[in-house]
Amino acid sequence: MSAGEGLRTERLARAGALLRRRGDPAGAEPLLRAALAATEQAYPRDPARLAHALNELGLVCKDLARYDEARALYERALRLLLEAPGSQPGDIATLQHNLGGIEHARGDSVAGEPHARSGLALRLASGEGNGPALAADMIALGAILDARGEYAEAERLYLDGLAILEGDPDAHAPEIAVALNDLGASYAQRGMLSDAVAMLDRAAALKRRVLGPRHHELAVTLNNLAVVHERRGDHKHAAALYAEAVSILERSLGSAHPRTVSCRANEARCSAAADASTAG
Amino acid sequence: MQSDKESDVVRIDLTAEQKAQLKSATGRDAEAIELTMQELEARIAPRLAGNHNETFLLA
Repeated sequence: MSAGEGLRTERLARAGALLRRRGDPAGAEPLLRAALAATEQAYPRDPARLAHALNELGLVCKDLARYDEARALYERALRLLLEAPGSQPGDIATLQHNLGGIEHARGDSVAGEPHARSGLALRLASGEGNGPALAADMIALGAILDARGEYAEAERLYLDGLAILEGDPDAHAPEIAVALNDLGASYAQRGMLSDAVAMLDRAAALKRRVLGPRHHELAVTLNNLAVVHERRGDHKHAAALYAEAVSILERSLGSAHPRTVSCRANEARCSAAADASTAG
Repeated sequence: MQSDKESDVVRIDLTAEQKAQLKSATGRDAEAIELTMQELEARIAPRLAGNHNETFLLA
């Protein structure tokens, strides 16, 4: 492998990861696919590099709702790291975290919980201390428990994770926004609508500031805020939030993505209710 | 490569070829680069990124 090939591989991977973080998974995918192919060719016996390339492509496939493909990529990365001497325990923990995330996105929290708990246990055993990765594991497990109705443990995990992240709020703003979104959604599921609005408003403002107005993660929080306002009977406000979320999701994830489809249906129903209340 | 244990900063002296590459790419002259241990570790072995498990409420 020449230095030039190594540099090209590195550049593809960095550009793809940057687009993914900016909320453009479709733009990131061809770069990360090329980076994986180049890594397989240039570093066939380097499990850490291969796992990195597989994981990045897996993250994009998850964003694009191609869950089987994402899981296969994560599982291949995990096998490589488990078979390689000297692998970082924290990286194995992250792959378990990500495998749990696939099941969470799929709506199968029963399948996701063992992965998320394993990731958290590995992280604690890895000697990384109380860092942001541990907080992210706590918040990810919290979201899975929420989906199972285990609200008390979920809330404790969110608050403990937030306490870690708020030690350096600027550095960890995107993860803080995720925790606030999940905490707000949890309060909404428990009928605590005022608390839910407070958390979701904070999450939306933070995402708008650090991710920008076109990121699909902002759309998730706008959808959740709309659901809460709709439940409070404020259909006009909810419809406007759904419309903004749909506009972001169509541009960033496409019109056929399950979240776009779901949010568009919410918008149509809520707009009809808003029109009916105006006419009445 | 030298390490300042008190501040955990690592200084990497550049070779003549690296200095020329840096000059060509950035127009700047430098004898060495300094990285914190955390930055150096991220360059040598970047950690895997985790996904975000975000709850998406259904109405």
